Amino acid sequence: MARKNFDEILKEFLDESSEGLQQLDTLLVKLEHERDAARIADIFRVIHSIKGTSGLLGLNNLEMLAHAGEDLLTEIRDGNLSPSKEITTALLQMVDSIRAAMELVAQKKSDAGFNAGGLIARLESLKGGQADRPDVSRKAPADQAGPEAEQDLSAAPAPSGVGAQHLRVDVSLLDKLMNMVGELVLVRNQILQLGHSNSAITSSSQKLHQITTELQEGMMKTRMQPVSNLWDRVPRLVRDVCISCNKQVRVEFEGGETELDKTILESIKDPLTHLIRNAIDHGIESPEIRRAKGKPEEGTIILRAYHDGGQVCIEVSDDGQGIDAARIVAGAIEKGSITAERAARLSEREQKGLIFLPGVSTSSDVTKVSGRGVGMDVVKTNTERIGGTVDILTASNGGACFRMTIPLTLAIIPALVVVSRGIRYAIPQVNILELVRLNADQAAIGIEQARGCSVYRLRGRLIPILYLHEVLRLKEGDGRQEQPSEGVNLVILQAGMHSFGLAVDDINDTEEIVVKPLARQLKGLTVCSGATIMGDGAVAMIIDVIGLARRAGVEVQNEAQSRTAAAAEHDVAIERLVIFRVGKNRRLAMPLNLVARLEEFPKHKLENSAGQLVVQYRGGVMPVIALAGVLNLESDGEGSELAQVIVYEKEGKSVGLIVDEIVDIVEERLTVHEADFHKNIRGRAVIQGRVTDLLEIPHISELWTATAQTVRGVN
Amino acid sequence: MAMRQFCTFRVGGELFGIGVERVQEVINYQQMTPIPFSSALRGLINLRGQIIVAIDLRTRLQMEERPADQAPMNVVLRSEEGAVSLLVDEICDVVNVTEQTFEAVPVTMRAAFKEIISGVHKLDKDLMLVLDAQRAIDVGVEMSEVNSVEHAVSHGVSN
Repeated sequence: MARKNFDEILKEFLDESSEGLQQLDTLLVKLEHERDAARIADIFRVIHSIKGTSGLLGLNNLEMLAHAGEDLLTEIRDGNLSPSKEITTALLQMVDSIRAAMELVAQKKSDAGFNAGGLIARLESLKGGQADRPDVSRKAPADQAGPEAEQDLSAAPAPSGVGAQHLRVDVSLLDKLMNMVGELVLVRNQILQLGHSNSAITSSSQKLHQITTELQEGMMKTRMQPVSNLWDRVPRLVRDVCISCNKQVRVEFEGGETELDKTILESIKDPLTHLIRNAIDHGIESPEIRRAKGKPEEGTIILRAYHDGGQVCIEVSDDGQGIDAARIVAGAIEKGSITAERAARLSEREQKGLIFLPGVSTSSDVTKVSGRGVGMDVVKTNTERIGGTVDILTASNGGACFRMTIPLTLAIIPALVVVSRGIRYAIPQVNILELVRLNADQAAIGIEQARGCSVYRLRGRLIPILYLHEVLRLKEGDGRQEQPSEGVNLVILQAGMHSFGLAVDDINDTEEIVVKPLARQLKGLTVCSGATIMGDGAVAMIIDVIGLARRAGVEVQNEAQSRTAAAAEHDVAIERLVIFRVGKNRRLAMPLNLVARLEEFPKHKLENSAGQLVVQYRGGVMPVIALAGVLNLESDGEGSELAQVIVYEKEGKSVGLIVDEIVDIVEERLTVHEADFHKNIRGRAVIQGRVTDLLEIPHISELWTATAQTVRGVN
Repeated sequence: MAMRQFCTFRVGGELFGIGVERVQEVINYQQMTPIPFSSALRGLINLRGQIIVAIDLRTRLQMEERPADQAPMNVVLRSEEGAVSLLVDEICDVVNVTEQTFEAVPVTMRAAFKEIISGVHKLDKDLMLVLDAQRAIDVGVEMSEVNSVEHAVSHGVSN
């Protein structure tokens, strides 16, 4: 019994101390910049309680270290010493060392073998010529902190989250509850499918439906944690990196209260660390250069978190030299990741995107911190693994800004259910680009063999084809025997920088699935990221698209190699275009890289504002232009309830272009013929065997205020 | 004399026992979702909303495959990381034994057995092999990243 008590106390001690240590990092770094009695009192409280409890638990080596740190802090508090860089470094080392000791204690339930003699000696020597006063540390913390600090203690309660309004709940309990809610969701789905004729049952099941949905939402919230939990570690990181590369950097935080699912928070830890390191090492210039450029010597990194349409954005922006697209392109060409011809055709944004290719670095020299070209592809891969994306923006001050857009939760995700050899698999929707169905004849022609690999010509571009049953080596009779249907179903997937087609026997619906982690025995199964229970109670594994691609060696291929030889030889002006129709038989095209999104709006959602047609879109108001009006064409989409809109984005502003029909997205070598019949048409070309007008986008976008009167056509 | 209770079952003709305190429940054959790159890990089962992995003891012990017309039974074990099922041929009685009938593993026993058997109890008419539950469920998938990439490069992904 006594033993159990000891274990419980020990666990509590470890839990509390790890929270305290996390604060210490931030507090010590702040203290270095600004001496503040309240801060010192906070630091004291943490160190003192570690010292006290470790003494109580017989962790004497740990106690001695905490004691030495406390002594040094006493000198700082009393004003005998100021928290110099050297002292702060030593104190931070003490925090690290205590952390290491804690891990040891967690494993062995004792601190035997933990030796911080060197660090203790260093802490003592920093204390300087002060007389040794071992009795000081034996006093209670209030005695030490003095009246001023004591006041601060009462004013600012310990920010550990333990108060009357909060409970400390074991994460495993929450996970269990979350699982049960997931179950409830499945049972609810089954009951709803029964569709009973008895009205009492129907109304009860409706109620069940509603309560379950609310319960699910409530449960999700319990797993949410503010981003600031992650950011608490940042000041310390920044300080360490700054010292090792001689930079001066200040960090600012915005939106730390933004909440994310705990597991997601965990998985963005590494990408965020990489981004911050890169920002300091590559983004922010050295103080001398900054002075020469007329910038403040101290650089600024801003971490910003905010909600955006059901997702969370986390930005890391700096006021440094920005990203030099030319240098990235040169690096990528040198590594053979891309050909010079292809690179020249990329937009600047696409060129900057090359930074995410493995091995590409903007830095000419490798530093201890970064420059090996491994960080950024890790950022991209890790972010995509949790269903997020990374974008590079240019900050208004010319610095770089990296934006991670991530889902709120991983527990329930939309997924496509596919069938291979009678076994169902779920593929996360976020990885899917499009679905292609080839009938037997098309498959015979369309799927070609190149060096033993199956490839498919998707709009002129060769993409590798993987057969799911082959990659997974499904044996005959593994599932219910089912003759594959005639033809081939391809799920076109994006895995990092590469896309590939996954051939499956059948494609079912898209469903919201409850993600369950795999058992310990299956941890090595990199082709699957989890499992889920389908509506009929059967288990389906969730495909890890990146893991699958890696398994099949898709990532071994370079972007340049995957293009057709013909295209690589003389593709002078391949463009990716959106083909659409306005009016009868009038085909138009615009470059895909100018298109932010393709949307459908119900016609009644289009509103008039100051003579301008607008629509409420993503929390803002977006002007829309009817292309038929601009081009003096007769729209034939008036009978339809829905308006087809191409969203065009420029300088952060969105404009919607109403068309009658989105026809296709193509990749073509264009031969542009002059056409000067309309200033908004830059020329015409033959695409897919048909004459297509090329829209002159810059004119269109500037036009939208001027065309306010011409939009009557669609109302 | 301390008595211990064992839940016993047969696999490939041999009688095995596992401490009753480790056994959560015994259930009939369930439909399973096969797991790629695994042999002993036979499939995933939906056990009242919990997804558990089923390990075939025949494969684990390197015995011959169970005849196709013979459905296995599930012995669901408690483990620290959640429940795990062992697929066995036939469920037998719960037996009470004392330390007196216990013997160490015979040295001549096959390696696959020795790995997960902790000893033998001499019963009246039979020998009961005592299964070490933790070691029995300690099995992983069989995929090697390195080989797969080489494989894909040299033979193409469609092989």
